[in-house]
Amino acid sequence: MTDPREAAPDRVVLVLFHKNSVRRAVPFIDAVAARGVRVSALVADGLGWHNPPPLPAGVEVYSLGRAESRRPFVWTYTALVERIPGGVLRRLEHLPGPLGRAAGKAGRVQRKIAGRLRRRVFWPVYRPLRSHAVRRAALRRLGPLELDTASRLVLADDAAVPLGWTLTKRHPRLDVTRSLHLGPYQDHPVIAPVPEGPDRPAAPRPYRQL
Amino acid sequence: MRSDRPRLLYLAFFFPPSRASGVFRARATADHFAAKGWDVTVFKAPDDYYERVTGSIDPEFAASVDPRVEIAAPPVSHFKWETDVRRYGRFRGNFPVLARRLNDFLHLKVFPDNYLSWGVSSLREALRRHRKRPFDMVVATGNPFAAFGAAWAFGKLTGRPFVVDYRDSWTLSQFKNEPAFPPDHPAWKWERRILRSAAASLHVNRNMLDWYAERYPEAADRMQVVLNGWDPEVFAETADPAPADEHRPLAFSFIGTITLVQPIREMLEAFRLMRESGRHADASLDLYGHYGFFAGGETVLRTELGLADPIDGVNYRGAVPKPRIAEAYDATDVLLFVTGGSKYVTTGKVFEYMASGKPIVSIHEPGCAAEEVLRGYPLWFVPASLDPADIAAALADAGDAARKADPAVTAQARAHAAAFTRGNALEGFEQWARDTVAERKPR
Repeated sequence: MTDPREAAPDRVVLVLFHKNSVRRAVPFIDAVAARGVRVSALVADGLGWHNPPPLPAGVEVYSLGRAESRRPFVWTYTALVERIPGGVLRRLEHLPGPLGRAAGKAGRVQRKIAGRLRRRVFWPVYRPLRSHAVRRAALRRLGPLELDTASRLVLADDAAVPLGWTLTKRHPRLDVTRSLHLGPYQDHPVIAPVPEGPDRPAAPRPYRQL
Repeated sequence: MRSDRPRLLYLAFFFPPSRASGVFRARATADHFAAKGWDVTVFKAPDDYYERVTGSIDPEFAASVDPRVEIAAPPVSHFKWETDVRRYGRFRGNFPVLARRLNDFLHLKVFPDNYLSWGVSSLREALRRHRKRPFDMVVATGNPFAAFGAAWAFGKLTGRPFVVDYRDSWTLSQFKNEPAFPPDHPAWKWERRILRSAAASLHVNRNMLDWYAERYPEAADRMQVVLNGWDPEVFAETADPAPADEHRPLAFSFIGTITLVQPIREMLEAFRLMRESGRHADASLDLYGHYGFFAGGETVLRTELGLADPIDGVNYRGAVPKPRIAEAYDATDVLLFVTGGSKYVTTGKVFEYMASGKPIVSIHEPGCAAEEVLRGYPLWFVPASLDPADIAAALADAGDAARKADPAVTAQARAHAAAFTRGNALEGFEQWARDTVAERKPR
């Protein structure tokens, strides 16, 4: 039997750069998917995405997480402040005797300080730059999203706006919006039930890296 | 001579073809002043705003405005509501958070209202027109309260008297009965400043006036109550209701906009209980009106209010344009007055309900300001509480009254309603405005 969604020409690409947007986006995804609209999601789930709510099953999710982590500023900071000192101390922890115990204690102190630095130094500096950094990473990797076949690009948060604004120049016919309302799909007939409850299926992880 | 007529500038952001809450009061005010010999200029929002932002527009309604009323639409910024990223400028497209914070800062520091841009453009346009031919008075209706700010600035710059019409309250949350802003919010400072200079402030009921008089005693002697009312043309050709045929099922109706603040769930449950009790077991409940004041909210409202799935005996009849609203009243035996009203909420709909001369069942918290006008209406049925069982009993009693439909009682009901036409409500204010203008500028 043919899935009626396959016959539907409409396709929405949802852009989520902040994990708090996921909860708001899920009802939108459910509503348009129930109306036979295919949904793809582009998520920047590299930094600051601890325990986000799952995206519904059926959504093709593309991740910019790895690409974001490789941005020079992010990579250099995490390497110098978190990964290299942390890695060295973790290895030293395995040494026997007082050196190992001292390394264990130093490791705990290092993790505490790194956590504070991340909150108080890294994020205040990086947050205003993040949407530009991710835009730069995204623009080189958008091929698999096939934006030419999408009818609507929905930006779920402010951080995604710079990418969306640039894409309005590259794709003159693409409808780029900040609205999570049904909009043009309002009158589409509902052809599939909306799954409910805590056990509803989620999009499989890890997401496809761009 | 046309130039001898007093000239009124009326700032009403929501005006036909908008179908927003309170637009009927605005239209009635403009029409009434025009009919009384004023040259009325209305500044409203551009239609583009009603179409793209609220999505609530009724083109037929615009034609109902008195043709003598001149209408202009100063521009309004769509910053707050713009969702089409293609319309963003370079700055907002690249720095959306900064742009939003800058916009919020301006609104908080300059004037605390989302429609500040409309207030500014209205002021600019008003001054331009005033230079060509002076206005004698400005009346501003809120919300939005940027209209009050524009009227205040116009009054300061030109020395002309201005009036603020509290169609909705500004600093009072009418549905929660508590201040709408924290004590240090700039809205308080602006409201005090405006009321201090206003020639008058209008309020929709006595309770609202008292609340404002208590907070701003220096302006209390310039406060007036201008009730809402019903439009006589709506019921121009409606006959007195006849007794409902014994064999015909009764039609209970709610006519108005359906919102989340109304006890709709209680109404539905009470209707179910009434039918189950055997009294008017075959009755129907018809809902006439839009879901919410803005387009796009229907699905959410239906779900939240328990109307998502079909309910036995309950029919959603959709919105009825104002010129044909009498047809909905004609098809009704009992009216359900459902409002989230507090002692500060009257609603405009209650006057129209009374004008129908049909039984009305009140479904709202006790103490609602609408009780003030319903008191004395002989076909008013008040449940003991908002408990569905109590409402069901009141519904059944109202149904019995509809079956009887005593012509004498109906005549008494209509006589009671006759005092509450829009014209009567505005009569005193229009006379006051005329006297004020005459005193300032003897002709």
